[in-house]
Amino acid sequence: MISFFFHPKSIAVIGASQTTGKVGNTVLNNIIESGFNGKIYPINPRADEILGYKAYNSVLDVPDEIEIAIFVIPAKFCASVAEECGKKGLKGLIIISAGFKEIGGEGVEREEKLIEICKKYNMRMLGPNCLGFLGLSYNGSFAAETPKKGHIAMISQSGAMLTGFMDYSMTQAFGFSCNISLGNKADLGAVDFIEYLANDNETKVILCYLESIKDGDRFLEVLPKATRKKPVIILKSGVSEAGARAASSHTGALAGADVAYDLTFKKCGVVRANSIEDLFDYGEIFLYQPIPNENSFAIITNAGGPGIVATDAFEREELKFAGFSEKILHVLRENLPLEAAIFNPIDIVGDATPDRYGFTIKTVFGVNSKIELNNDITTEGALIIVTPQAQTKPTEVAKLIHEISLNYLRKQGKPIVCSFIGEKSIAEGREYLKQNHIPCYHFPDRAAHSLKTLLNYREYLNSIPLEDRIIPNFDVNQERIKEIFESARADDRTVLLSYETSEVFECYGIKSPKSRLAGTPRQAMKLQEETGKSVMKIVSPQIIHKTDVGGIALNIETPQQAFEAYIQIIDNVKKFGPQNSRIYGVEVQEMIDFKKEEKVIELIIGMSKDPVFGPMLMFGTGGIYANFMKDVSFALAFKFTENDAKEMLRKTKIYSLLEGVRGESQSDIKSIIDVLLRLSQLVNDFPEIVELDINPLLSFIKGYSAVDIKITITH
Amino acid sequence: MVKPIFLTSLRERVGKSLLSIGIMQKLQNMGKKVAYFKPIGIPKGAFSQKNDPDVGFILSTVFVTEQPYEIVNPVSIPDCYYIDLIDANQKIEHLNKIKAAYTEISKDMDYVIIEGAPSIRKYVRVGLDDVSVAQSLGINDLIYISVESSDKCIDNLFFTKNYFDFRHVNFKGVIFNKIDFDYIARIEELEKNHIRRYNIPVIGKIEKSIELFSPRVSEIMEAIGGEFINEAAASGLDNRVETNIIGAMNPQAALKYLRQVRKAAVVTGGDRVDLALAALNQDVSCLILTGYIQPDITVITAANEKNIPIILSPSDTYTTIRNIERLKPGIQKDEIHLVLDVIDKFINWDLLFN
Repeated sequence: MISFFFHPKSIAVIGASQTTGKVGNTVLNNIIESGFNGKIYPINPRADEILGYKAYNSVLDVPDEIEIAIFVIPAKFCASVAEECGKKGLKGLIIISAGFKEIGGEGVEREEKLIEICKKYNMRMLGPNCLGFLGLSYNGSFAAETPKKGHIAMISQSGAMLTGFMDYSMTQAFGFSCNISLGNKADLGAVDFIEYLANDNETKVILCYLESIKDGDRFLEVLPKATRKKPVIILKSGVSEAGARAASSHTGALAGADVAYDLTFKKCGVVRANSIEDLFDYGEIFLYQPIPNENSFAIITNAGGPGIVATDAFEREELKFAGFSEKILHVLRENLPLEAAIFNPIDIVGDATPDRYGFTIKTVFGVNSKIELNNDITTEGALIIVTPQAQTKPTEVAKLIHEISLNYLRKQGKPIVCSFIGEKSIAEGREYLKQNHIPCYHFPDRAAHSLKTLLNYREYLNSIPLEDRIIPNFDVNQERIKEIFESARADDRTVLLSYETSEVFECYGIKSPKSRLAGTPRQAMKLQEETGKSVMKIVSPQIIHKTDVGGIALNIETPQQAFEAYIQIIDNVKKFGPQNSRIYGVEVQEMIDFKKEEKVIELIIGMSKDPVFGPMLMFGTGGIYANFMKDVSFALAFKFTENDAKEMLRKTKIYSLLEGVRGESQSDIKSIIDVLLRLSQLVNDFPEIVELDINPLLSFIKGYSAVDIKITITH
Repeated sequence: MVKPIFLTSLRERVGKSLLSIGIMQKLQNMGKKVAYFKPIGIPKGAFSQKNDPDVGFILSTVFVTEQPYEIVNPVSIPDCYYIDLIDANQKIEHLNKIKAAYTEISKDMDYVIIEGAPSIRKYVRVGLDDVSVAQSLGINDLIYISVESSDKCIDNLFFTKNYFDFRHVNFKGVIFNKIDFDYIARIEELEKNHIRRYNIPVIGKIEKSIELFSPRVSEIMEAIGGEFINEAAASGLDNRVETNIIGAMNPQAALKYLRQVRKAAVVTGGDRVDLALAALNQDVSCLILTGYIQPDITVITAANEKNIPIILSPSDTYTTIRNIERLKPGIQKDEIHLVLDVIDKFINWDLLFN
């Protein structure tokens, strides 16, 4: 483990300096000022003593054991000093120094050397090119200030962002159990620290600002376990389409750059923040408010307008209103003014006093000691809205909300969030709530969004843990597929030919039309004669979008048509296809006569491999308009269950057509789910498959046919 | 008795030099003594550099000999206004030189590979065409090299056969060279239905080797007068370029095309950071940035990581592409060993040698 970074017994500062303002001085000073009670060893060959501590030439000269070292020396010296640290038996290095991979060229080599040394001596490394490490026991960074201590662990890939976060926190009600700047992540990355922090008693919530994730497999292994112990909230930046993704297939193009992160975070129970504001909103609410048990909330407001705005926000977030029993409604009716709206959302009208707020909140939560309502309570959380009216007294209301939350609701696991609308007259009340750990927002939208985030986390906690999910395992023929892949590679091809894909699918029990390759027009005639009604397609690894270059001919019913189609296709492709494409010939494929089918729906099913998180499955509306309709849903193929498949289908618009509209029969939905499950097994069994498209997959009332399949493998 | 193998063609750039190299390698591997002979060469410079580059290359690789250059390539005729350069006397003088050189080079040899003129039509007016030269050397068998990957190859084949018959030389056989992969099956069909019935021997059906005919990045750089700017990717200058592609669309649209090409030279403006980054994630051999616009540091860093050279072109995109298209890549010395590998399985050696 890496506990020595959090609670080291001794720290060496390599490059500690006597000169104020130098990083080596700031780091040493921060360690001392933050009250570190272990041993401190400044390392600087040109000094005898720095900031009152004896300085040494080298770590090797220090007579005692050293647990970790913080490097603030020029990059070119880091490797040799790291070697000394290894010899000395240090456990961890924090390399603040820059000049490594981020500068390219020799920097890359320097970083590789450091990694090699760390491996050799079994040392772990944070950085290089980072701000440092700020734990509860010491501040090993060059940050200007040491932030407040608390229970949020902050991990940031950007040192500058981290200093910004820490500075922001100075005016907030929360503090940190640690602040970790990852830098270049040459060794330790966010996942390593999350794994540790999941079991750290001082940490209640983990916040991360990440620009990239390197090891997707480890992320998928560690995060699902960590998020069951405490919330992990990640702001992932650098979400850009350009250059990030290589998309030759429909699936790849439709997936975009960010889908994999969304899917992975959801699967692992990670709370995704889309802005810095979100990151801290979520951090705060998870830190201080309980997770609701059910989707059943109340809105209590003293004005109609904000109540409507909040209701709209609830609709958007799919938050449900708690239904009040007759008894509760009766109590509210008896005690609130006649003009009050007693149905949820409750409008206690403009002249509402703090007492009226207090009474209403206690009633809907059943914590009014004077009225016995225990069996009638369905409210699991509430949004309290306050607009500044003459009678409102926002600070008084805030105090009451805090009191009720503290004394009753937190114990019952019921969150409360507020929206105090305005600024001048409600600022004090809002600040009171903030200091007392009740999230209070300027407007109801963010409040509703925070409640929804809590609820999503509850749903995740209630779901079956990933490791316990039942993944189907079909009887398949892997050996034959290995042969097909090997033969394609031997031919220096990465895109399988159509007749090869048919066979791959056959090995995994997925139905597709029979297909054979013609090398000349005469061969095409012969094959057409044997096949019957055919579709003819160009076979070339370089030609992915066959229709675009005139590489497809449909409804080939006679040998003569096949003869002409062959010539026409080759002529088109030589004119319009990519330069130097290797043409294997024209495939003659059995044409599915779907006119005889009562109901045919064109679907697209595919897989695109995310470089970090592995294969993602796609399902949606297929055919030539697939890329324009963009009616698709995605799921990670990792631990893919029948429920995942069903959810994928339900998320698309085409699903309602599959179910049947206007008295139509239902399509064979079960068979589509079966295809998705078999496909997930295929892409998990063969990580060399990088892209896969079935477009269209024709779905019938009974059965289906995977008409056009593309499979791309690695070299 | 020396056996001559005289290679002719109906058009230029059919790969006669490359075939000569391969055939010589095969014979050398068989322990045979083999010489290379090019009766009439085309000098690199009209009068300034008299040596034929193809001959020079072969002399420095598969045919290292102590014979003087003039014995291997006795006659050199510049490509421009050559009709005016040869009168009746010179014709005889040239033929005599050719005969003398051939006699000299054939000594103690088992085989002589004779590389004909760029086409069998060439020098007909001045009586130095391949057939005339062959006849003056007493060689009766000529081999015809065909490169068309279309049915035109049959018309050209029969035209040549008829022409040889008319000139009373023997059409020893045809080698179909640099044939598109998809056309090989068609050649077999044509062989069965059209060629065999006239007893025309098919000596070889050689598939086009993209690898052997693709230029390297360094050759492209020279052809466009470009400047190489990322030293960290210097080894990438040896990368082969199989396709050229212009990046003018937005990256998302361009990806569709970028993904379909292999070992591509991507030509785009130096200010197209988005497109350059998208291209660097594909099977790209080099980035050619036109207009001499220095790219963003992110592009250079990404290119360095992937060892992809960036070449700045002084020209606009169209001119740059035109200059690349004009490039006629030559085989490099370090790939000479590939030649026999590429052609070996496609040639009926017995038919050729006996």
